Amino acid sequence: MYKLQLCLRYLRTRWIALASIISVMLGVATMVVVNSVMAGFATEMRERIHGILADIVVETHTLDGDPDAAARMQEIQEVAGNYVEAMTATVEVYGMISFKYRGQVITRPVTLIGIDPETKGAVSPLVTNLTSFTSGRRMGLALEDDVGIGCRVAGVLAGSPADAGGIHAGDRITGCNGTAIQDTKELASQLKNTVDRKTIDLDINRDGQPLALKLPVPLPSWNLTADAREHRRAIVELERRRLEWNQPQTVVPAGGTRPTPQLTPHPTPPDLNTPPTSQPSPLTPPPSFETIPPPSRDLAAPDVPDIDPSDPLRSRVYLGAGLIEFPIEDKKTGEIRIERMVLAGEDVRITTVSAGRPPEPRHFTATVVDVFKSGMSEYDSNLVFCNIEELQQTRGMVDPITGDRAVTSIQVKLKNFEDAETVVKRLRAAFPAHIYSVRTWQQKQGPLLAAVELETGILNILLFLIIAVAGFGILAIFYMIVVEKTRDIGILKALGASRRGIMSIFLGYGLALGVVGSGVGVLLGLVFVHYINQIENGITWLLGRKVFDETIYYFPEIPTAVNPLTVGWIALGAIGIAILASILPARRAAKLHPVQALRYE
Amino acid sequence: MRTPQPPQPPQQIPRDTSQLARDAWATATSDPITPEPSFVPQQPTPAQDATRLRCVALEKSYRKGDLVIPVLRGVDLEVASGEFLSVSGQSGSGKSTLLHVLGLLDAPSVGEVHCDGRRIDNLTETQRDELRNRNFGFIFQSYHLLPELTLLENVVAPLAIRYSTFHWWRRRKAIHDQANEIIEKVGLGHRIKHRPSELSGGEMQRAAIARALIGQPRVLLADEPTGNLDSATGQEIMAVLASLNEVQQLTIIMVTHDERIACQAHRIVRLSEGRVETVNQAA
Repeated sequence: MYKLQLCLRYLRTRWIALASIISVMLGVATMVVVNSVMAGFATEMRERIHGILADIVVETHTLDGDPDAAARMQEIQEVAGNYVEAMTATVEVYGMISFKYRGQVITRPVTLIGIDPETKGAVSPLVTNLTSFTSGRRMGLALEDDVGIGCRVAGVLAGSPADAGGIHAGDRITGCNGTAIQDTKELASQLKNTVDRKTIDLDINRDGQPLALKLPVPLPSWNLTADAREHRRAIVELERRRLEWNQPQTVVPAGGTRPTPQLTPHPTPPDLNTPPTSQPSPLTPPPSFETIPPPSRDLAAPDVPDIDPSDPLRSRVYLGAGLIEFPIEDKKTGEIRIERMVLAGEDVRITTVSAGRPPEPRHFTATVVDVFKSGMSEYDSNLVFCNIEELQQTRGMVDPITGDRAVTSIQVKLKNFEDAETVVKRLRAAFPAHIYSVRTWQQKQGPLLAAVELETGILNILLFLIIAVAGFGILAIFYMIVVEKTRDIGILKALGASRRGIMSIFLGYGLALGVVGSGVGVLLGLVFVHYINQIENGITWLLGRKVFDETIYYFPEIPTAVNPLTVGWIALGAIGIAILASILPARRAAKLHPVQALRYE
Repeated sequence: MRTPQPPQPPQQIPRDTSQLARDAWATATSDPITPEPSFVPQQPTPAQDATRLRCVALEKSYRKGDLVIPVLRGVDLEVASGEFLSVSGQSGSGKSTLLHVLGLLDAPSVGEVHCDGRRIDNLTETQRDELRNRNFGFIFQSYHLLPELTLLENVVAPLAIRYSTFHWWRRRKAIHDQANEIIEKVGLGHRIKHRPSELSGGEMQRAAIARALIGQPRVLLADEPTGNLDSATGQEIMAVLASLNEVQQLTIIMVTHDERIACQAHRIVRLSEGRVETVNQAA
């Protein structure tokens, strides 16, 4: 009984022990926070990788590809048909894109992926990575942030899904898929998480009346949004005017005198260094909203004479955001904004290699339909998705006689990812290893995932050393307390306390320190994790500069994932260290000779 | 004041633990003391009644490096039940060591210690711990109260050591009643919640006496109980001890170097250089 009483009393009266409690607490809190954030990042990253890749990828080693995609898919269906939910054939090849930006030609190495949006969308979330979707434009919504009000619908395109869904201009969007949102940024991150959903649930506030509306998730397509089409039209118009303006300068009339240039309607040359503003003011929906082109335009149809110059080219691409974006700091306000060098609706030049031997360079011009932002910078600054038919045509992958189209990889989505091992095994048995490689997305990204895991492991070891250091602190403080309490130990022995009893006082004291320290630490850590974004905002405000730059990490906020098992192990480890550290002082206390202890002054 | 305890009949000691537990339950309401383990000397039979504590040819020496320093050089002593014995002598004569050896705080180098006819110095450590808790009450010169605990908690400490947490909780009321009674008896009823640092020397020593008494020991061992007190307060403490001896027939062995204090005992044993010099019957 006295053991419990004394160690609780020592806990309350020995303030020096607080130092060791605090060190245990800080160590535990740090471990909890770091583990949660690391797990959050890792989960987010895995989701993003998984979002771009499919569950299982069957690839050919050669860039020439497999000449008969349909036969291969049939084969996969036969081997593992009851596990497979969807499949898509893609062509992956190295390439280069180049585009003009303020009079410069920018060239970037890329991985060109020819896809069929419809089947690719069935295999992995595609549309949720497109910025036209996350900004609402794909649904015909023009959104803006209104100070104090939140996310406001500035305009709705007539005939668009948003219009059909019953959204009116002036509505305020307060929630998406059951989560409350404050601004367009939050809405975008909610929309990005609309993976595997058929509809978007929107909570709307219309003139103070709450409404719940549903919008269908649009299918990915190669069509330009109304905005992009408007932008393209503006570019074409600008180009036409530039040509018109240049005409008189190049043609010298017979009289030898240079006529004054036509001042009307363009007294000054258009500023070629600045691309025309792309996003029309959301408050005034562009007139083209009324004139949306027919959505299903046959790409392969031969050009008709009365072609609309603002029609997109036959080759169309989704560009990775990282290829065309860079952050710019405003010198005056210090604000960082994102500069886009190419906008949807503009054309880029793509260079790649042909299939066959020897490979030759091939060029084509493609219209940028959309910009995709998966959040994995490795993908966003490397990938260009292109319509597979055009890519096959350009690379000479279409058999002139049979019309068979070659593909380099087949992506498979499984009904249940847990079957991946079985399916991979079966596919490996069916497809010769010297021609095909069959891998799950995890195996394909193995080094990256392994690196993250290794990083977490090393970090954990280092952080646990912090707690170990705290353990030595406990050891030192306990030795001190034992010396200080020598006489009391003698008294207790004179009163009949046993060695074991004395030892358990100090072991119990260590246990109590560990429990209190790790308990408060876990609590502190969890609170910190819960309010990590508020804390980040506070630190940002305090330091005047961004701690966690979302333009670098692409996370709207710091992702966290608390794993109860990890937290439990951390707490147990800390308690264990506290007990271990108190063993030596406790043994010393137990070994004290009662008479000598009583005489100790 | 409590009346002297009537001699109890020899108690049947239950051997198996279940019996022990049942008895503990049965006695819990009336007497907070559990049946004593078998190694604790039994209530004296009339033949043993005369001698409570006896030591034979007691020698004790300490090592200091290569030197062996003898402190006790063959002490034979018998203490009768209910006797008030004082041990006096100069500093270094070994009187405190004798008390420690008798109280099992220290083991003798040579010789034996008997209590109620049983040898106790060769018991195992656990048994000696138990015996210290049940058989002996200690009073020290500098009181030796635990500074973190209140007066009441200090007084009940021997019982807190004796019982497990479970038993303690079952009996805490009986224990606290008993403690309050003893504290009242030593005149500290108004100081129950105070810390030792808030008490005067005399109050601390009386608290220490209360602590020594709570376990209902057979022998009270007092090491210079008045050494740190002025003569008036010292006299109060002596009065308390004398009344305990007289009324409760408690065996007391008191070590002191003060002749006037020593005289108040029944018998004075004078030690010199580790040997018994004289044994005086006090006036």
